[in-house]
Amino acid sequence: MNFGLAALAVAVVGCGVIAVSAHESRVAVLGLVLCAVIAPLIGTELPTPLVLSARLVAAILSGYVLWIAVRHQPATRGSRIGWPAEALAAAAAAVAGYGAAGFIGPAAGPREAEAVAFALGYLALGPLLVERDVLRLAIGLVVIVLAGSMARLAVQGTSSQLEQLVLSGVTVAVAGAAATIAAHTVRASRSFEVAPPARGGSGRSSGSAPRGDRAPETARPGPSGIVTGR
Amino acid sequence: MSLLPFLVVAFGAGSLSLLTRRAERSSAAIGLVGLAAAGVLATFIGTDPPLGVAGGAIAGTTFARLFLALGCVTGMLIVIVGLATTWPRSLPGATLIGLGAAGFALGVSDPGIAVIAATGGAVVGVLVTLVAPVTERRLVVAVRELRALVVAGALAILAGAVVVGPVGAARADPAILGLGYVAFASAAAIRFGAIPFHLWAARVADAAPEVGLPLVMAWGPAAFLVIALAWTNGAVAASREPLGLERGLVVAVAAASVLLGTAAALLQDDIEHIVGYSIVADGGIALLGLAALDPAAWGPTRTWLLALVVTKTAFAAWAAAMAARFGTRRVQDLRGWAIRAPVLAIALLAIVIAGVGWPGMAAFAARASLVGLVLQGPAAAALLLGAFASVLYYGRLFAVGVARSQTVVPVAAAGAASGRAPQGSDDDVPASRPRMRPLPAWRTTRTPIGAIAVLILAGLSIAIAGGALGVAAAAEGRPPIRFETPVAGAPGQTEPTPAPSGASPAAASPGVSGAAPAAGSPSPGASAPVAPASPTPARPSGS
Repeated sequence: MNFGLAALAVAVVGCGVIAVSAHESRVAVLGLVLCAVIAPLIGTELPTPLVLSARLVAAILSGYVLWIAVRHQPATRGSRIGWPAEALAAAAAAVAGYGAAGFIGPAAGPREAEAVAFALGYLALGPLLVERDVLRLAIGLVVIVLAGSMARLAVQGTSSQLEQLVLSGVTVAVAGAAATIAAHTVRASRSFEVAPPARGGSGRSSGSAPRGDRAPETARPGPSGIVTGR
Repeated sequence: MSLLPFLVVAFGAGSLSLLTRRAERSSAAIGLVGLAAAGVLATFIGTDPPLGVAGGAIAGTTFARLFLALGCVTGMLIVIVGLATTWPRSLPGATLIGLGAAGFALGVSDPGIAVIAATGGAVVGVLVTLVAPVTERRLVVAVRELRALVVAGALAILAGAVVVGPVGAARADPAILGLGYVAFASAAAIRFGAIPFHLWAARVADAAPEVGLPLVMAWGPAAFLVIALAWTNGAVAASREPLGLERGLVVAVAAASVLLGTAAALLQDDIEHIVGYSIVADGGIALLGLAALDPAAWGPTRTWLLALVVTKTAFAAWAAAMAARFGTRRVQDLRGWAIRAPVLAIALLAIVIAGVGWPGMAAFAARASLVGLVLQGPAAAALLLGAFASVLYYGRLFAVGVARSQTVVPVAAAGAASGRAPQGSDDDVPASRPRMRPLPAWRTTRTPIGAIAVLILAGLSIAIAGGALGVAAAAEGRPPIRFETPVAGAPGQTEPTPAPSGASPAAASPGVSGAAPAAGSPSPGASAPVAPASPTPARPSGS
């Protein structure tokens, strides 16, 4: 075991736990940023300055766009099972990933990367499955992208600079799209919660209006003047 | 090298258009000019030698040239239709960035990077679904779509990491290889909204404006499927594992999408839903290309995809024009529409010809080839029959169009006379105040201009489905995606990579030559790797 890589892996997973379990929006975003900043350091060799700066800028920019979305909404749902349980489960996933290194064939990358991939994959599951909190979903989406990159690193050993640059762009794109949705949600409902559409009202009953199938949503002005449907 | 100017303009103009989207007129102008410039630059994309960029390599191909040029032209036309009907202000910017990402993904030599890029471009397309007023339903749809896109991307990234080319496929356990194949195919199915992953796609069709559907449901997934096809042919097919169960699963998903998608389109009463389910059904045909695991499926799949994206763009534009013209999207309320809007009727006729096909047309032959590659006998006949059943929902639209009724009230003329939008921009409320106040000249002419744009799109779809503009050559061209080839007798070892300099581009990089693969030739994608300008460190041998 490489203790330096192990320490980095623990830091990444720890920040991921903070990101998905914090009830304070800003703390969750901060955890996500730190997770995205530290993750590129895991590898058999240090990333080049170009890659490091690109990933750093992408992580900060992702956090910034999410920050813009959350600045007026301090509370998020956070983890339902609490951070200790999340941390323990993530640690278990990391151990499983560390032990399973090479199960899909000869692994060229560090085993720590596979451990991080498993742990981040687990941490992303909750936010991805529970759809009501948009900020948690945004965090889950960025975390699953990081998990994918870690898994790729674990299997392939190294990744090209181009891949890292593209990954940086995708991280920003995912965070930006999620932040846009989060901002709209906050403006519409003053929270990160979006309610799934009721069964039977999924738009199958087309009205005579051009958007008549959205008629069941009785339009009414929201608190901020935006017309929201209910 | 020829791809770079296109990428610069697409990403630059697209970002600028999105950043200025609050100033809707400026954003639309930037987007239209950007699409025009990108379209011109796309026509200059050639099969030049791969360009080393940051340890990777990108190259133009004839397919990328045609795909991107068509994307820009149809993007311009659909934006014009959007300006005349419903206006999602993110449409031009998202279209440009989506096409830029597709161009990068089609040009890059590493399938893993291609998947990441295609996912990133698709994520930006989510913005199209967020049109004012942003209701909770639209937010939920956007959330679900974003989740589906990222999950599909993560699946494909993992699959691409697990099986890297024929070498990785040869070393991998057959079960792992099969899992990777199913994961990549599932990602493609999710992107196309194939059954059973159709729920999010159906809701996108419900919430997104008609003019945004092609970008979200056709162009992005088509680029993704091309990447999946290159990976499948280069890695999985070259491993020579039969993967019978996994292929059967993919065929089942594809067949279900074709049959049930067509049935759903026939039963829907909303023309936007009909468009959505018709894309799902035609996407099922494209998925058959993944199930074939045969280099012979390469050309037909890409031919079908080219026809699909253009035809469905025309169909979506037609639906938008119809909703704006008549103030309703319910089929039952559209009695007599063909008599009152003959230009749109002609356009739909052209769309039917392109969508259903006719013997001798390239898309028609491609569909038959794909079905024949994966199914035999009665099953193949049944699936082909199901695919041809699309003529039924088109026929239903025509039947309603020629029916006599007094219920159809063309609102476009009234809207133009009163200075109000015919459909009230992208609002749910009909004929509400347009978000972007139109210029007087545009106010009076936008309805016929929109109809003419639909007609042009329909004509273009016939041309592409018929094989014009070099569709066959572009579809048969080999991709820039390539893998390491194993040295005979030494499993796990790879050949040294020859640099492309010195030799002729075609000889050094057959993957970008644009030549059709001969029978018995290696699978597309399974060619010698390209040496980038700054090569990546050698991967250590497997432990």
